[in-house]
Amino acid sequence: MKTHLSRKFMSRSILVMVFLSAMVLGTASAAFKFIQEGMTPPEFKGKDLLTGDEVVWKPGSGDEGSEVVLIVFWATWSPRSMDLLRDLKEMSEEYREHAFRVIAVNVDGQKPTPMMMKEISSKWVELDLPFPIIVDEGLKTFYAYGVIAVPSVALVDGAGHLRYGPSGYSYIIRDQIVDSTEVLLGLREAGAIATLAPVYRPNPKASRYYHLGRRLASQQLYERALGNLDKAVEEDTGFSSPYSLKGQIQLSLGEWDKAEQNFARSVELDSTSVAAMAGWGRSLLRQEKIGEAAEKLTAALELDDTYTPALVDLAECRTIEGKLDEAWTLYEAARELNPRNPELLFHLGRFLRNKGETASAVTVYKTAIEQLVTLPILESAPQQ
Amino acid sequence: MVILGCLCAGLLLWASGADAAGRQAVIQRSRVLLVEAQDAFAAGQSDTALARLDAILVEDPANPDAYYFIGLIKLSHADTAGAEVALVEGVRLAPLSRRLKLLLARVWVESGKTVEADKLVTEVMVLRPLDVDALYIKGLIALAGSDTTAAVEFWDTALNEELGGGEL
Repeated sequence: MKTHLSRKFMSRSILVMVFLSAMVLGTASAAFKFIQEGMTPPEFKGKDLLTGDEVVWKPGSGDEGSEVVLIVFWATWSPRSMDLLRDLKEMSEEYREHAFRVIAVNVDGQKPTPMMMKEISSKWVELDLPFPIIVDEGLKTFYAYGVIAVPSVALVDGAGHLRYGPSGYSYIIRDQIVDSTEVLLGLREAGAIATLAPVYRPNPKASRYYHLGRRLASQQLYERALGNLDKAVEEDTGFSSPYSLKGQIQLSLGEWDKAEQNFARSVELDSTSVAAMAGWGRSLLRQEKIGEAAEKLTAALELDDTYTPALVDLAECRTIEGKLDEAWTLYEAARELNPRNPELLFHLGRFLRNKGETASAVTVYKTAIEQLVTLPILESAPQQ
Repeated sequence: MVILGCLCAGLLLWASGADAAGRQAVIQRSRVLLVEAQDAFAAGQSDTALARLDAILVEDPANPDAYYFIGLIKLSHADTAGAEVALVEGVRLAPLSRRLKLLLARVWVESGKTVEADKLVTEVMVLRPLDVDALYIKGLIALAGSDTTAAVEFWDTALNEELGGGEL
């Protein structure tokens, strides 16, 4: 099955590989800011775009017959999402006799508009997808997982643990998804390409404190969140995610030095965590330690060159250093990956504004603010 | 006489009670219709949505929410004149409604009435100077006047407010 499937994928993917190889020679590292491999991802629900039925997903029980679930975060504006969905369609058909399910979570925007729904439906029809698409209203699931880039995939085993979670999509990632899925379905031995590394399983009590802390943090109840994260690390001193989340909270509170310490500890425990490495870089950037920040951000991008926050922060470092061309290249790379990310566009807008390119800045700022407003966005420009 | 008085008072109480119950039923029906209208609009069925909203106004002609959604749907179909009629009525019924004022301002920007739009947005910004929707419209008004520098300034302020402090 593996050979057959890979061959089918191979022909189409060679071209993709040529285009993407420059971007993806790095590893397929973690796609999620708040969920590390080995952890139980949050449950979510949403309406099936086609049937209108409510789709509820909860991590599996591990009982016999429990499904391997592949959750894909995708958007119509992301060409790589289309490649991924096409391949997942084939996978879904190939493994239909097995306990395998794909759930596609659309993350086109914060608020579904009729135009957006039309675009999503048209992609669904065009691709003829055999699995449900749910629209992530308010991007709740997107934020709960801390999705880094679009598309991203969460491959969850029957016991409900995240086993593989790459961000972006490439030739290498595609093969790793296929192989990892087949290993989890018991269709092949782990080995050749499969990268199902032995995962760190945090102490269940620590995991519960962590998830509670994450939920409290998402409600901006930072003090209570920090209290729970402290309890998580007391329960399991080797658990890296609580340190990283503490760092994120401290960034929000402007406590840069504390954030730096927690990110450093998180990286010490898990050197593959791109979110922690990039957070470390950001905490240094906020303290104006530009050289050190650039070093950590570069390290983060070596782990995952699709990690938008690291691209943006490194661009800011290069701007401060006067390396404007390099900054521009980084911003462009980030925009290609996340063309509607308001934070990125805000920074890019400021960059263009400071360069005196006001007309370009207007376009970028407008796209950024339109992600945040509750008013309808119209195609036509206002009369001048 | 006393008995008659009691009877009248009882009747009045019954009548007002029935009135309140009737009003409550209208409010309840309006809520259901409003949700149905929103769902239909989100599913791209604007005609169905408008029919639901019209049904609300038959029973409850002073319902500002219905006027808001009619304005929203008409604006989404580039019917600025129709949107304006609905939203002007909505603002008349609910003169303190932020969302009605801002949507009407958005319609007015679209139809070139930037002075009127600016006045409405300024009213909102008196209470909420960093309102992201208001600053968005301010930027559009500035752009309509070809003042790109001011547009960027308004949007930078809004984005800084929304994103500046948020790291998570």
